[in-house]
Order: sequence, then C-alpha cells, then structure tokens
Amino acid sequence: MVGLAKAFGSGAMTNSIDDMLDASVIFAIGTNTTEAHPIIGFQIKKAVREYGAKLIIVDPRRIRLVDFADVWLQIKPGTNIALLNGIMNVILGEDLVDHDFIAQRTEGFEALKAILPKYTPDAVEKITGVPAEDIRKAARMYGAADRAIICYTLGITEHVTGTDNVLAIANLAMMTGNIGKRGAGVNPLRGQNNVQGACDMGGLPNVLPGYQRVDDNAARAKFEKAWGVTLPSKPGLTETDMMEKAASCELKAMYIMGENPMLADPDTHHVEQSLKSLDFLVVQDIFLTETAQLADVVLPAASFGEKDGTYTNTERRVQRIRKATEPPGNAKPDWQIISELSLAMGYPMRYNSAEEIMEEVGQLTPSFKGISYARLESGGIQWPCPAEDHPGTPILHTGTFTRGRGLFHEIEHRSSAEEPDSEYPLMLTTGRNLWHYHTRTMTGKSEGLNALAPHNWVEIHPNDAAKLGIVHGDMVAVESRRGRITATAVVTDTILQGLVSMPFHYADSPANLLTNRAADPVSKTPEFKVCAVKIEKA
Amino acid sequence: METIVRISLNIKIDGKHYRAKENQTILEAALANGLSIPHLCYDPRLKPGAKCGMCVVEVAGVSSPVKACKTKISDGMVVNTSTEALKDIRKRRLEEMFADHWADCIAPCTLACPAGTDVQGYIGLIAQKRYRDAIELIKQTNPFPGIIGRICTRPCEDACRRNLAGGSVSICWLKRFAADMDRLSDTHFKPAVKLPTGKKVAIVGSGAAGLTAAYYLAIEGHKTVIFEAMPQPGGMLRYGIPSYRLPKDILDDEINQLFELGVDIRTDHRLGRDLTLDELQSSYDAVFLGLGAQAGERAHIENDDIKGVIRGINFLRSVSLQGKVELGKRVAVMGGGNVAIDSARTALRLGVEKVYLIYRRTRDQMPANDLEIEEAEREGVEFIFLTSPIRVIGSDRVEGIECIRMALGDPDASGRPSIRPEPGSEFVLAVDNLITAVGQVVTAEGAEITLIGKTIGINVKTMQTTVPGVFAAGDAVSSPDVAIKAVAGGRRAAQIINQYLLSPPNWKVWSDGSPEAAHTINQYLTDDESSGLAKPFSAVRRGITKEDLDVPSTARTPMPELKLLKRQVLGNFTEIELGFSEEDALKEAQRCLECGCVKQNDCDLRNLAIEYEIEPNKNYEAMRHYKVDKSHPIVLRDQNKCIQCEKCVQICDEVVGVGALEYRKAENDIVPVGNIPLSETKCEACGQCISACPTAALVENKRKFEREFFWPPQVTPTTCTYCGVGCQLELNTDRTGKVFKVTTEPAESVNKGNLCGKGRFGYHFINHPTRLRTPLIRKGGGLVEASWDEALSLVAERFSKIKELYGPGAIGGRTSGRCTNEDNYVFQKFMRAVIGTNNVDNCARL
Repeated sequence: MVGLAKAFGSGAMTNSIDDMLDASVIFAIGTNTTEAHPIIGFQIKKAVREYGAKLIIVDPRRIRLVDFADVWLQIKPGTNIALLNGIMNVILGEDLVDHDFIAQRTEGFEALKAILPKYTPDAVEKITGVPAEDIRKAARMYGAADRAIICYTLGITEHVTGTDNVLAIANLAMMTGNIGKRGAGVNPLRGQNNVQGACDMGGLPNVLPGYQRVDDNAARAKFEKAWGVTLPSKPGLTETDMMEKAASCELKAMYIMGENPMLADPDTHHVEQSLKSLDFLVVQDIFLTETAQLADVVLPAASFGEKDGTYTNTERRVQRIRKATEPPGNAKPDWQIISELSLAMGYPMRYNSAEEIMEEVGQLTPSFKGISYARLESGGIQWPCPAEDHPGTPILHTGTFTRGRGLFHEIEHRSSAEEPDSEYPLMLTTGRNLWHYHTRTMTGKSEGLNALAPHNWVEIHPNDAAKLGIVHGDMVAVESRRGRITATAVVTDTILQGLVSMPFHYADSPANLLTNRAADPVSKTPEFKVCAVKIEKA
Repeated sequence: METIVRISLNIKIDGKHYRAKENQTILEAALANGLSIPHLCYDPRLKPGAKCGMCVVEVAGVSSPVKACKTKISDGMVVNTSTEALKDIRKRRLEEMFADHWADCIAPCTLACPAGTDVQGYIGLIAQKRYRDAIELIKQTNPFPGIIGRICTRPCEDACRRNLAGGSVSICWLKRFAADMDRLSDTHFKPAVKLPTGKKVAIVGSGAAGLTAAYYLAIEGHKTVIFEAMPQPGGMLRYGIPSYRLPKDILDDEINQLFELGVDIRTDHRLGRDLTLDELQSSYDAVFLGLGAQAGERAHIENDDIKGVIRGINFLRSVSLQGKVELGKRVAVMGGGNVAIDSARTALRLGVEKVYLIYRRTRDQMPANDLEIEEAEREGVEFIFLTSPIRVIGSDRVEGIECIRMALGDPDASGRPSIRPEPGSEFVLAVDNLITAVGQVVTAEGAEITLIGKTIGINVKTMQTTVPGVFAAGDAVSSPDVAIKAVAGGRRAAQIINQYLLSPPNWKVWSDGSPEAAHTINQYLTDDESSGLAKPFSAVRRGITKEDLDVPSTARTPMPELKLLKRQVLGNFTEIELGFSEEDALKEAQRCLECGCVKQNDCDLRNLAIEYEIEPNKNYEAMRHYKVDKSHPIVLRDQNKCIQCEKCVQICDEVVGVGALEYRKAENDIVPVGNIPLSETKCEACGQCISACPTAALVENKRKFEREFFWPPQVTPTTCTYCGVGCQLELNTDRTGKVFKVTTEPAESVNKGNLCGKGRFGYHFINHPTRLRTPLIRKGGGLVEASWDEALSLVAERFSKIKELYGPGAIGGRTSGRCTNEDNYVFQKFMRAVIGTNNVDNCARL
C-alpha cells in the first residue's frame, strides 16, 4: 500500500476484478488466489480457459492455479525483488519496454535502468532458485503483452522488503506501460472485507479520511472546523510500533476494535507481553477472542448481519451491508458504541444512523463526495467519486498518475530478516486455506467448514521429511526461536525443498507463535512469510 | 470484454414488439424484457446447456421448435412461446423427468392431513423449541390444536414413514404438547386481525366447522356471530366427546380465543325455534351453516323403542349436560366407532358393573382408534365381536338382547370381508340397557335448504348451498366424520365466504346458474373435494422400504397416562393422557424423518410441474431408488431428485474450474468424478453446484431441522464479510432472527451470483451461542458482566485519566478492516478528536 502510494500516488488496486477477462497476460505473484480470493480465482481460470489469457504464477508452492499456468516460477521466499529485476533485465535487454509511456507518464527510469544489468537471468537463478530460462519466458510473455495485469497479496507485502517488493512491481508495470488501461494495472487483492475502507476512512496514523495527510494544514483545518476541535499534526504510531511501545510501557492504553492480534500478529509471546504491559486495554468484538480475554473492558459489538453500513472492496467499490437480524443481547453496532463512549468523554457525536455518518464522510472527503446510500441502492460505486453525477472510477491513473508522474525506484535485492541456519534449518512460510478465515473466530463456528479442515497442518517436501524420518500424517513439532507448536505433517512435493508452510488460522496450533515480528521499515508490515524453524516428530 | 456497440434489434414475442440486443439468445432477450419462457437448466453464469428442453419456442419461418436458450435473435424475428404444441412438448419432457423422480415434495403426513396442516413444519419448530411459532403454523390451517391434538383420528400417523422404523412419529401428541405449552405461556400466539371490513357473517352451530369458520372470518376483519342451540358452545366437541378424552377447560380455552378475535357467541339460539334463516339473511351479509349431524341414527332392531334403549350420541350429550344418566347394572353398547367406545367407557364411569361392546365385525375392522379400544379393554369393557343384536327383550323396559353370531365371507365392494349371520347361533345377553351407536344424521330444521339424501347439498367449488349467500360445511355436509375434516371444511368455507364478501360482483359467476355453479350431489364427491381442500402437488416416494429409509428403528416415546384399573374408573372423568413433558416431546420430534423436500417452496421443477399439471407418481415401480449421500460435510447429494440437467457439472467445470462432477451417459447419472465420494475429489466445497441445482438433488448438508418452516423467509441483500472481493449475497433469516441460509441472485455484481464456501456456508457464527451479549469488566482477575453505563463510564474515566497523566500519545487505537466504513470513520474520529492522537492504525499492513 505504502509502496504503490510512493510510485503512483495511490495505494489502492488500480483496476477492477472484471479486468482479468481483458488481460492477455495475468501475472500473479504472492497470491494463492483460489484459496484466499476464490471468486477472483474463478475469474482468472475463466480468463485463461475462455479468453485466451496467459498466466504467470510466482509462488514457492504448487498452488492450484499452477494447473492453469503457462509459466510457474517456483521462487525461494524472500527473493521477489531479484526475480522482478531479473524479469525487467530481460525486458530491457530485448527492448520490450514502452518508451512512449515512460517518456510521457513517468520519471526516474534512468536510475532504475542503471541497476538492472547485474540482474541477469543466470544471476537471478542463483538467488531465487528459478531457472533462468523460465525467467526469460515469463519476461517475454509479460513484456510482449498489450495488456498485462499484475495481482499480488501478502506474499509480496509480508516481508521485511514488502514496500520494495511493491515498488519493484510498480517498476515492471510502468516500464511496459501497463497502467491506466483496461486489463492491466497493479492490483493488490485485499484480504479483508473492508481493509480498503479502513484505510480510506483514515484508520492510519498519517492520514485523515480520503488519504488527506495529518501534516497538511489545510486538510486538518477542514476537519478541525467540522469537528470543532484542534487535531494533532504529528503522524501517530503504527500497529507494529504500538506493540513495541506497549512492551516498553510508553503506551499505556489501547482500544482494539475487531482485531485479534493474539492470533493474527507475529510472535504471539511478544504480543501477549505487550498487551499485558498496558495499564488499560479495551477490546470491542463479537466474540471473546484470545485478545478480548486479556482486556480490562470488553464491549460487545454487532456483526455484519446486524447492522447497516458500507464496505469498500478490493477494487475500491463501496457497497452496502444491511441489517438482517438483531444483535444478540445488549450488543450494538461499533459506531454506536464509539459514539456513546465519546459522549461519556464529553464529546457528543450525534449520529442517528450509519447513513448520517456516510453523509459526513462525503462532506469531508472529496473522493467520496458523490457516494450516498441512495445511490448505493442501485449497486456499488468505485471511488474516487467526486460528484453526485460521477459514475465512479473503475481504473485509476488513466490520464495522469494520482501523484502526477509515475515514479520509478531503484530497488535492490535484500535478504529476509531470518534465514535458515544450522540450528533452524528450514524456512517457514504462513498462509491461508480455502475453508477458514483469519483467526477462525467465524468460520470455526460452521460445522461443515470446520469438518473440512479441523486441525492445523504443516506442508513439507518429501526429501526433507525423509531426512527427518517423518511420514505423511505424523504429528510433528515445529519450533522457531520464538515458540513451538504441533501440527500434522502433510508430505507433498508441491512445496519447495527446504521450505515448510502452515496456515495461521488455528488457536490450538498458532503459527504466529513462530513467526518473526521483524517488519518492513516503511510499511511496518511484519515478515510473516519467512522465518527459520526446525521440525521433529512430536 | 471491450465495450462493444450493442445494436438494438426488433423482435416480436407472443404478438408483442420488443427491443433486444444483438447477440442475445431468445431466452436472454425475453428475460431482459421481463418475459418468462419456462426453463430449468438455463443459468446466466453458464454456457447454454440446452438439456432440459423446457425453453422450446416456435420461430416464424423455422419448421420445428427451437431452444430459446441457444438460439440467437435476429432483427424482425417472430417468436411464439406458448402454443399448444409447445405446451405438449414441455409436458412430455416434464413427464420424462417425473418418470424417474422418486422423491417427496410434501411430507406424507402433511398430505394425509384433511386440513393440510404442515406437520413436518410444526414438528421442526417444536424441535427448535419454537412452540409459539409451532402453534402459529398449525393455526394457519387448524385453530384448535389443543382439541384436535387430543381427539384426532390421526391419518397423518398412518401415513408417517416412521412406521417402517419403529412406529409412526407421535404427531398428534406433539401437536397437543405445543398447544399446551402455548396455552400456558404468557406470550401465547394471537393471530393478527385485519381492519374491520364492515361485513357481518352469521354462523349457525358452534362445532368444529362453525368455530373454525368463525376463527378465519374474524381474522379477515368480518364481524362474526355464532348462533348455538345448546347452552354452551362446542357442538360434538362438548356434547359428544367425554371429558376424560377432552377436558372441558381445554375446550373452553380454545373456544375463548374466538372472543379475543371479536367473535360473538349466542348460545340457546336454535335455528327454527329462536331464529330463521330468512332473518339471518336479512341481517347478515353471509350465513354459514355448521349444523353437524346431531341426531343418533336408529339401529332398526326389533323392539328397540322400549325404555332402556338409548342412542349413543344422546347418551353422551345427556351425561355432558346433566353429569349423569340412570342406567342399570349391565349395559350393552352396539357399534364399533368412537361413539360406541366413548359410550362404553362413560357407562363404566357412571357405575355400571358390566359393560359389553357388541360389534358385528372383528377388532381389526373397528373404526374406533386403537388406543381407545385398548383403554376400554383395560378399564374392563368386554368386547363381543362378530355379533349383532337382533331383538330387544322386555315389555316395558329392557331385560336383555338377543344376538346372532356373524361369519366372515368374501370381500365386499369396500374391500372388507363381507359378513353374514349364522343361522342357529342366536343367544341372549341379559342387560338392563342397550346403547346404540350406529351413526348420526343431519337435522336441518328451520333451514329451508335442500337436503340431498341425508345431508346439505353444496357446490363443491363454492361451498354454497342452494340458497345464495348461505354456505355450509362439516358433518352437515359430509355426514358424520372426524373433527379435523370439519375444521378443514370450516376453513375452506371461510376462505370462500371472505372472497364472497370482498368481491360480490365476481361472485355472481358462482351463483347465477352458470355451468360452474351447477350444484353437485355431495355423496358423489371425492374425499378431497368434500374436505374442500385441493391437495398440493407432490411427488411421493411410493413403494418405500425400510432399506430406503436407511435409519435405525427407534420406538415411539410413550404417552404418560393415568392408568385406571376397573375398580378405579367409577366416577373418574379425569383426562387419561397426561401429555408429553418437554423432554419427551423433543425426543419424539427427533424421530421425524423430515420427508418433505427442503426446496418444496422454491423448486423450479415443482413450479413447472404445477403449471403444466403433471401427474407425478406414475410408474413408481420403475423408478430408481438412491441412498441419500450425506458423506460430504457440506454438500448433500440426493440423486433421487436429479433431473440430469448437468448444471452442477457445468458450473463446477466452467466457473469453478475444478470439475469434481461428471455425467455418465450409460447410467444417466451425475456422480463425483470417478464415482468416488465427493469429499475425495477435488471438490472445494464452494456450493456453486448447490446454487445451480434447479431441484433439491444438491443441497447444503445441514443438521436436522436447520431450516425455516415459514415461507417465505426474510431475505436481506448484503455484502459478504470475508475477503476483500465484496461478493453480493443474501442472508436468509428465520422468524427468530436466526440466519439459516445464504443465497445469491445471478446478477450484475462483482461475483455475478457466484460465491465461495466461506461466503455461502460461513454464516453460523452470526447466531452462535458464544457471541458476546453484554459488556464485561475485569474484576478481581476475571471478566464479569456489566451494564453499558458501567462499562463506558469506566473506559471514559480511565482514558481521561491516562490522557491527563501521560498525554494523548499514551493511548493507541486499532481500528479494523473487519468493520464498516462508518465504524472506522467514527473510530478514527474518536481517536483524533476525543483522545487527541493520531495513534490509529489497522491491520492493512498485517
């Protein structure tokens, strides 16, 4: 997100889900689309099978989409930059670049060009484990396409090089002119129903709603006038920083709404220590999660089926949710709880409905100005939507980039924070499975879904398993420098040798007990995708 | 998907002109114009499969019919969609499908109920502990579950499939249980009464038919007045059924609900004595006659007019009115029906030392309820079968009866063995009284209407007598029958009368001598017609065996009873059946096999079958029987209901890209690829196949009773709460607010009607019992429940204090990608404007 904002001026998905069908090449990197975004997975398969699109998959595991791929680059986790630079090296070398686009729409290409020569396919093969010929094949395929779309998810961002990974992707798209048109673009697929909206609404330490910077005096003045208060101008702490400051007792209190860091954050022991160090913890949720159990006050919230409101999907489409039933007991919609708390603290927020809140958003946020509940009745609207008669924006950066010109960055390969060594010889990567969602507080309540995937497992290559005397179905202990958990071994050659993989959904076998909280220095996203572990029979 | 310029074409469908887009098929063009062409296998998500053959249409200039789903339109095309020839083709095609559709649409219990009560529905509601809702559902067709739940002859239980596996479900006792629970509840069910219409209806007779008609007419907002000849309302329910079977307080309670609806009951008003039909017609907009069959029929045996011979129904009425009737020490009851049994058992209770029940056939052939017969035996009634009284002995009062033995012969027209007296087998039984219970007849004194035979003649369709505006139902029309049939008739009459009152101009069609108004002699009517209720369309699993059921046998939950030995019967009119405990009822409800189809209300196949008047159960011997496959945790496969349209095969391949299902031509079956269990295929459990299935061959594999029994459910369009795609879906909510299903509409949206497994099946968390219901505060190490005031005051106080001591930067907020835009907006506003910090972040980076 931060990366795209630096390159393009906006951190959101540039194109729409439907654009998959217009692409002649789909480049999917660090996204297990069929498991995490099945409907987009349907779309990709359809594009390949019915619309003749070529599919390039970059993933250390043989994910299901590999069955539909023209090229599968089985990458060693944490080497995305090298691979992307290698692809760009070929594109540059074979002159598949879009010179007009670079000249008219971008800046900084020369600097990038200067670093690419050393990333020859052969050199990159040594870093990434991907055969040089496959790198060339993928580069020619992507570079020659008139419309090539890139999709990525947390396999790109959950690294200490997350921001750089994204910048490298942006470089690739810009140098081939794949921005600002149908069937192209750079598309981070959002993992949560409204993570896009949480950011759009200013749920970030440096921006107010609509990405209006807190250190922009004019923007702040507008909100100060509307809200009748003076607002702080200094950017606040990120989540990762908050946890560190809590552990060091500089942060005294936290108000956590709708998150379960005890399972979702890396290095659970550290999370627990941080939360327990707080003087006061308030958790607002629909279940008594592992995090809520540590709280001083737990506030019961209404679920999505019990309130009105809007979510913004991964393609920036604002859509309605509607109340289908009453909240249980005394539970209330989150906005209502916050409003009442605000009143108790002497600042009345007088909202009678979620719709009134959206009206206020529209007044203060130019990109939401044209969005109203009345309009949403006839379908979702993609922001920016600056006026009531504006149809919404399916594709960003069509004429110019949000920041004016697209900015190339010279990005060099860096290693992951914790590479395997003699003590912890295997690399662990975490992920999701088709039937569960995040910390399973919701999907774990559905008998059918649970029956399909009731317990945690760890995927391991047959060669590694043989060395450890492990057979398929064994219970094994997986240990990192931070913790130890047990899971069932799934011995499979769909995974790279030396790599093991686990879902992080299970509270009784929490993979994040193992993961490393080392984070990207800019985005502060922790490196969930790489840490070092050892495995033995349990 | 480049934007192409769509050229608009002119087409003519069924004589009207429409505009359509180039490249559309005829079916797409019709649907886009709001027209409907029958179809089963068309789905906008799929390539035209053209398997079902329902969408055939005629195109001008084309010699034979074409399939609308795969024929593109052309400019000026002329299409006909509903000629007789096309209807024939569709009908034949549907008949082909039904030739191998071994399934139940409606449960056999419900089909067997004369009133059409949704038995499976109310048992399901009882299983969900929704007793008030169970009563509401029952009262849609039967306002008196407490009464009927005690006295019904239970044709539903005869039809119950559980008979093959341990005995029928105790349907009637469950109904009674629900009624008792509701009766004793503070929030017992009261139907909503519509605004007054200003119309008045007179109802003559307050038996089951009259009370029922009054109930439904009152709900419709008509002023309803019941006239009853006897001192108290209830008719046969009060004066024909002893209180040990139907306690008077139960009867009173259920009659009293009519007062809540504004019904006026005037007792001691006898037609012909206190009022005339003319008077009623001049004061009321409609009249309903529920006169019943009150007069005991004469037994026609020699010397039966002397003192000591009593007709059964008169005997029961007198006991009811006076509390007792003088009898001698030995009494014979003649007859095999419930009135005979009731008379015998009542006689015992009045102190008679010896009661004989004489029946001319065998025990198996007695029309009375088995349970009643058993009770009578236990209480000491002596049964004499294959015997008929032929002469009463005595000059001024009964001294005995002469009887003759009967022998069984070849079956008669009704299928029962014929009987004939055996000459020389005569014998004398010394008794002081003979109670004859051989039937009742209608007395329609004071009603100047045509009796046809012994009953009131009505028009089958209109329930109207020969007098316009006068309607009738119940025993007076059908001759003596069971109470539930009178309830059914009363309700049907109320529906008709309601139409009559609300739209009298249309009513003329029925009363002015038009062909439809021709009156029909009621004894020529079929059972269905005389009950006045059209049976719903339903396929039926005829020829079912225990193997087909595939469930272990379990025994019926016994009814707790007041056990009376002979010596304890005297004077004891206390109710014998004590009713199920809640535990009993819940256990018994679990015995229900849920035969009725989960999609009975929204099945595309059934809807077309109804439209095309298909006869569903022909050639059932040839139908294939499949075991229902519940082995997959999410997808239930019932191949019995499959019509081989292959939509599931297509969607799994074309849309999902998995291809877990295949069609096998040789067997004409759809099976998981390789014919292995679905859970061992590549199936991703997305349920797309379920969403495509036009029948219930593929449905969500749920726990028993996890569905809604009121139709339609509340459907709320919303956005999925899982990943960031933002699929559009519909939450289906039951009356209790429980989300029990997720559906989609194929439409222009990000997901176009498609969903993944999480979106479609991950809804159970919403109503999960572990949801947080109230604020919690940490006290002494643990979290304890608190009020909102307490919790919010505490948070406000602590945040304020920390802010004061350490500054706003000492507080951090984590907002959430799981919450709405509005929640997030208010959260960051709170952190910034109220706390005064930018320490707000969300897991976008996680």
